[in-house]
Amino acid sequence: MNNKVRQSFDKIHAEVALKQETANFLHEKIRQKSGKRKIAQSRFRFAAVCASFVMLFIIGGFSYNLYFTPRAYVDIDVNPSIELSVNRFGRIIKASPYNEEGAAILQGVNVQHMSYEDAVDILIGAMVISDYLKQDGMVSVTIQTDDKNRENNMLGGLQTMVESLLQTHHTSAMTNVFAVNEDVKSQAHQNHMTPAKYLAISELQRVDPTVTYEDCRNHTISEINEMIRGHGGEHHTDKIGDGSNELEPQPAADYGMEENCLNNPATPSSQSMHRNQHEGDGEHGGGH
Amino acid sequence: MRNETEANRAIELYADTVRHICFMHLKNYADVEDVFQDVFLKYILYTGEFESDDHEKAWLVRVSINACKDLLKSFFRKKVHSIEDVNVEPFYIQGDERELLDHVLRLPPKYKNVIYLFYYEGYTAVEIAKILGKNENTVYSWLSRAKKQLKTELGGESIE
Repeated sequence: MNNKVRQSFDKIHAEVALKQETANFLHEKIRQKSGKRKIAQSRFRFAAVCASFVMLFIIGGFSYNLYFTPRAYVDIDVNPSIELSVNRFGRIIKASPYNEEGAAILQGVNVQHMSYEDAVDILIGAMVISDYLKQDGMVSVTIQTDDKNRENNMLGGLQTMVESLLQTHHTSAMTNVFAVNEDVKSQAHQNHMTPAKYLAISELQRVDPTVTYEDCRNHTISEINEMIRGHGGEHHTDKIGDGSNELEPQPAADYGMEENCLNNPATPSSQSMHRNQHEGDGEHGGGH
Repeated sequence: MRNETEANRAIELYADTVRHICFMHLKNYADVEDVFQDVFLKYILYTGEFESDDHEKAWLVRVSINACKDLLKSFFRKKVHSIEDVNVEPFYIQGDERELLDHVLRLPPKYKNVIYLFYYEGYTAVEIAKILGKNENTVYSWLSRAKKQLKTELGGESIE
């Protein structure tokens, strides 16, 4: 029985055709599966690459926007007048001159992407070395930002830094570091000058309404202050420009921040404006 | 999925075993072709690892038996008889062997399986129990009854 069963089944073989057809069938299935897998893999790879690009684009755009959006402005006025746009990380994203002297300084110094403190240090240093700062001159630095904490930090840091820098250069020039609000900054910008010079000219207009911003643009702040002192409350148009003033006399209140700034330097918080003077507190305070 | 080389090797090694199981359970050649291809398709799609060739063969035996069972119990097959039924399995064995096979083929499927696995493939009852997923004692019982039935039908001829 055992042998008979074995012998019987031994005579039954899978037909050659059956084996061949099955082999062909399996090969076809394997090829199809392999092709599908390759297509799926290439599609997945393509989708992954696309997704990466989109992510990169979004992150890149976001980062670009984050980095290149100005959060504060620092304006330096010695007479070279320069505006620095500062991002949220305290880095310089743009340096623009207000006048030819400012442009000349910026041609020799690249402050792009520097910290604002280093940039101010280098720029004022360059102005001192280039003999723009006279012994009795004035270094005015104004800050404009919407962030109070940032404003306080920047004011403290820059005040100390500028004083120390001037001591290093053995100059007796005054420093004037203060913050201005957006309106003052905007008006100064419209007149193509730093807020410090804008405020000084505005103050001059209070005592001599015939002067214009245009007339005084090329004067240093020290010179403008000198004119204010010289007027002693009277109009002295002969000192500035040709006397053909374009501005009508304006009430002091029109200057907004200016009046508070210049007349009440001890109350900076009243209009988000601060004045820090190295050795010239009496000059502005006493003069106005 | 296994590659073409593995598919060819499996067909070469186990084609006859799968064919024997198809022969026992299926009456027409078209069904044999279907089950035969289906078994090897399952083999190339199976991603598990076989411990040895014996393990691989046992897996194919079990899959073949189940594939035949599934085909035979399908609703469509029970209710419909196609023109393919005409294309019956070629039967090229003659004489005593033919008579014995006739008797084996007439046994219930479970008895056919144990007779084939025990006498032809040489599996022990324990191994058959594992392949069929049945209790060992059940396999012993089926073997005993299958032998008894064959003995009766073959007129008392010893089947040991």
